[in-house]
Amino acid sequence: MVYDYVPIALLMGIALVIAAVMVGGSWLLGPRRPTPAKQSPYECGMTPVGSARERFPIHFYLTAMLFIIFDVEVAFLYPFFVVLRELPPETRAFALGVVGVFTFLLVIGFVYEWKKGALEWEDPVEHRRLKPEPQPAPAGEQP
Amino acid sequence: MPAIRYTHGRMEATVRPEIEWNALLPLMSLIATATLVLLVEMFLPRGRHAPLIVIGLIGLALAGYFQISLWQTSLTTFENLWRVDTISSLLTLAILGATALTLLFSEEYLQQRDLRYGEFYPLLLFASAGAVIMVSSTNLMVVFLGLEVLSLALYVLAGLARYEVRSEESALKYFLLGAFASAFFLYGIAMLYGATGSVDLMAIARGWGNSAPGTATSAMLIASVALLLVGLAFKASLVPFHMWTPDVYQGAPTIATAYMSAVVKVAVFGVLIRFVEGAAGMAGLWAPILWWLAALSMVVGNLLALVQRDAKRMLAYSSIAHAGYMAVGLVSLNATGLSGILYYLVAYSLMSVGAFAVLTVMARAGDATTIEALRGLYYRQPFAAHAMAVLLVSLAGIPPTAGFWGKWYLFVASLEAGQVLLAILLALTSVVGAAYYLGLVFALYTPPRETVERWRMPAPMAACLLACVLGLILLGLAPSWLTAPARQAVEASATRVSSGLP
Repeated sequence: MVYDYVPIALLMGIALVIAAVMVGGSWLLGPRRPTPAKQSPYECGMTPVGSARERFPIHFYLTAMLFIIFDVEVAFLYPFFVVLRELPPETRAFALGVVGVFTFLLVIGFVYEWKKGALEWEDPVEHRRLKPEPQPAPAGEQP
Repeated sequence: MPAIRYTHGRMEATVRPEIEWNALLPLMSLIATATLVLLVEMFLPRGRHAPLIVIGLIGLALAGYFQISLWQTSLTTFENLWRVDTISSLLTLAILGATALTLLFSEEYLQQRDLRYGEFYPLLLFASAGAVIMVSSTNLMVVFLGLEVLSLALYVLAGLARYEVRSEESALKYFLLGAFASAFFLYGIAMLYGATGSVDLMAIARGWGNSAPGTATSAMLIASVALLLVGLAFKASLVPFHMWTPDVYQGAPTIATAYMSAVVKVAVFGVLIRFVEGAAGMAGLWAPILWWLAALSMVVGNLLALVQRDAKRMLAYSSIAHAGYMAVGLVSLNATGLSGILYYLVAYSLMSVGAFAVLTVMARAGDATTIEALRGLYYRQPFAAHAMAVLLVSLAGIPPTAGFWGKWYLFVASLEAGQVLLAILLALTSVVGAAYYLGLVFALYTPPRETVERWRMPAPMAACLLACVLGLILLGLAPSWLTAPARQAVEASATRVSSGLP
């Protein structure tokens, strides 16, 4: 039973060696001319160290969330279509039906986010709220 | 057996699961309705919700029809992932009923509070689908799936009034503590899998029978049962896992509170009934713990409700107390107790939805729900006050309402089980409870200090209140309508569990 884990141990070992060679090799062989930009953990994007109480648009979260939803969908669909061919014909139709329902529900989600404007970078609702309130119409023009 | 099985990378046998589509029809029509409402809502102009309510009610009626046509059937399908019996039918119907009642009175509140979010309706229906999933399976992964579908929708509903700090606080608290409870529950499932190789609640009984005391298996089973109990007690808001309840109930929009107070209780106690059935062999270990949870919930819930100034908060503490009453039925672990819980759940759904529905009329007065603000409701809206009086009398457990019989069955059950102290506690705390319920009734009929205007009551809300009141009185006059099938269901289920059938 323990031997079942040998491939995993092997994989971990190889990964460790490769990582060590790559990091160690560039540390030994590479020229070093540091600049402040090079020494920061990420060269672009937000500063990783600093106050966490910073405001930034909620769209980042929204986009990340939408990305994850569709990423997971693809992660499901790839292996499914790989094994679909190996299924016996009478099971294949059922399996296709199941995945069809899954995809249909995701398409509804997609239509929903599109229609609700989640794909617009400029949030129509927030945008409207930031504008000054419309002045009340003169009394005579009220319907 | 899984649909596809691999051995060393090659597909060996493929088995298509046997599916009784009839058994899935209620859930499928509920989800289809929710999806349809979601789609229709996108294309409606903002603030126009009448079609959503109509579609929702039709869908709920359809789901209810399918569920009723499954009455008295007992089967499992989808490789034991889905279970239909009278327990699940009864609880599903209670969930559908509570959802329909919530749909009836919500629109008025949304308009008055200027919460014109059409998302409320699909979320409500999705939450109900989650609750139905929870009560229709003994497989803990399926139960967990249902729990998350229910909870995720409820987190959003609790924060629906998103420009209000209280509502935001409520949603955040509910989310954090709900996630915490889910973690306990999941860890319990993992332990159960470790001990028995199965994630089915009924595996607890088998695993306990096969494991010698002191072995790793029995230790893991004990840990699993403890963790599952903690997770479920959080959701059922049993003391000492109740801290979130008052804040969440008070901060959430009243329509969301009405819904969650009823439906979450039904779903969680549905799971708890199956849980105690599966773990009956280990009752010596968990029953004392549950005994304390029940006793503490009854005492703490009722005593703290006594000192509340806000009716919503008072009802939140009272819901903790009611969870405690129902836990008495779990501790006594006999047919009277478990069928008593089923009866109590139906009655409690009606009482709770109705009572919060009456509180939604206060949206006209800035949504103030303090007892002071409710004073003289009779002079503003006589029908609402009368309905509230009946509901509160039932919550207090005074005959001839259903609330009395609910407590009575649980009282008898604990005596049958020899839990005299618990029975005495139940009776005593009910008396304490009567004090604050009746206090609120007096406030409703006290003349207000200044002259007040009369409020119009929309017809759907009146229909909802009438349904709650009539339902409670009918159930109070003829309790055997519900208790007879409930007892049969519980007995059949107990026989099935003890003979080791799925």
